[in-house]
Amino acid sequence: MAETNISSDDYTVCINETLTDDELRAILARLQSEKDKDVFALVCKRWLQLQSSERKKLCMRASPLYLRRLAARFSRLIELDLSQSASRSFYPGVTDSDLAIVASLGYLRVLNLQNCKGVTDGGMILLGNGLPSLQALDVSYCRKLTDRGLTAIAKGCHSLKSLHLTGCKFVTDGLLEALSKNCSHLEELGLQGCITVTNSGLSVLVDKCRHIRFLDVNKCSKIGDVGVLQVALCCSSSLKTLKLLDCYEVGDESMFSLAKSCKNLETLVIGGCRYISDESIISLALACNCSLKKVRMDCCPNISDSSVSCILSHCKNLEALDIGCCHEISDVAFRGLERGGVESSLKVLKANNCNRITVSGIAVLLEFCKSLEYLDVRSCPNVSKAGCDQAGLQFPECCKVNFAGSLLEMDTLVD
Amino acid sequence: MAELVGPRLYSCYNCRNHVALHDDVISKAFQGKSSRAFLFAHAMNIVIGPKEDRQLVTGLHTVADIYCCDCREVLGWKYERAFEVSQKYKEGKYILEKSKIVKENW
Repeated sequence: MAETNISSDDYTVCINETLTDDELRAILARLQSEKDKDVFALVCKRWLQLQSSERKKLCMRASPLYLRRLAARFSRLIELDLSQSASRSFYPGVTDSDLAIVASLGYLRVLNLQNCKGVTDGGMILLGNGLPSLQALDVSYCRKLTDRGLTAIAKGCHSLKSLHLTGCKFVTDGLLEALSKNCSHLEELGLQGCITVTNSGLSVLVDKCRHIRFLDVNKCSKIGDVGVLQVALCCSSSLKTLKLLDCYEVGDESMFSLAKSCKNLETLVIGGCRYISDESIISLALACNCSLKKVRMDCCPNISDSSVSCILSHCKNLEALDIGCCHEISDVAFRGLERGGVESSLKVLKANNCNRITVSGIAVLLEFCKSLEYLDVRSCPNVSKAGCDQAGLQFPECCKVNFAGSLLEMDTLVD
Repeated sequence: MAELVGPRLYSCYNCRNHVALHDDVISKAFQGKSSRAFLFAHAMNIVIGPKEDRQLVTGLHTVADIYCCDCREVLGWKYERAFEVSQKYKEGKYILEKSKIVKENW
């Protein structure tokens, strides 16, 4: 049998065998679209394994069996979104045994479990033990959770920066103490509806957690001036968002302390804080005139024209203002825009139920707020569509006006 | 045929669309527009209408009518915001009128 000479021209190189894993990863990193990355995974098992190990982010609603397979495939996941919808579902949803699988993803930094109503403290303990790099956790509306499970998270995840616990009504000051001891890098804390937390817990928290920039204690009715004062003092340079909806024990003292210490405040929610009055709001508007962007102060019966006028004339970067149900406010408030002189950057104004605002006030508003996108004048007896048309008011082109209630509600612009 | 035991449901009286669970009942002692009404923590398969300010027996409230998502019948309303402190507990909860809902298989 004749020997066949394999010349160098005939020698075939299999490129797949020649390319190393690192080179393939470099190629994968240059692929821009998700579709291309998915197609990359279809070439062969080796390329599939490389693509899977590079995958950082996953968002899914999966059964336990599928979750196990996905966790095995995407072992280097950094972000995982398992959030569910708010509606009742008859399927168990995410359970503690699923969290046991999630806890095996040791590189995980961001975990979203919003509305996973079935999870309990047991699941949290598993996560706390298994995810030391965890930086962001959202367990909003996981109503079964208590201090026991969440403390385990605090103790296990020292790098925690963001924690959202909206609706977790069993959370107490005990958790705030655990966060204070273990998570000094905390930047965002959402405690909306955690009704048992008190001023004492808040004070203990901010004593060590001095970098908080987002604090939401909406509907935590036990929080008052004492707690807010501590927050203002300890997180003075970092605080950007403070939400105190329906915290009726928060009064003028809190506003004065914010004015004194928190010069970077951008978003303030004090809706329903019925004892706050003009003087303190004026001092806050003057102190944070460059930083304030969104202010929600609906249902504050002691707020009148002087403070609103001051906000409108001094806060140059104001984007959204909610003064609904503030019955003392009238057209005089808009004079602040005239005094300011310059065009305002206001995009959203909610003034529903303001009996004393008339079409004349709206006219002044439109003169200075050319960027207005949404105006809510629902239940204002002296502002109607007919009245505005009669007065010849020209609304900016992109502006939506809510005269009598519409399905297109823009709630979240002033949170 | 084995009897299926499931959660106790309420449906729209008009089209039998499932709208609420009995487990979510908070109170049965409410007054609707024309008849008795129940306060629910949650309602499903409904469409929430525009917000309105109404002066109810208990004070000023911002409410939004709720409609069956299939047949668009008004079944009750949702409390969006309460002006009075004592009424804040109702925020985010739903009123379904007794005359507009039926028990489903129980």
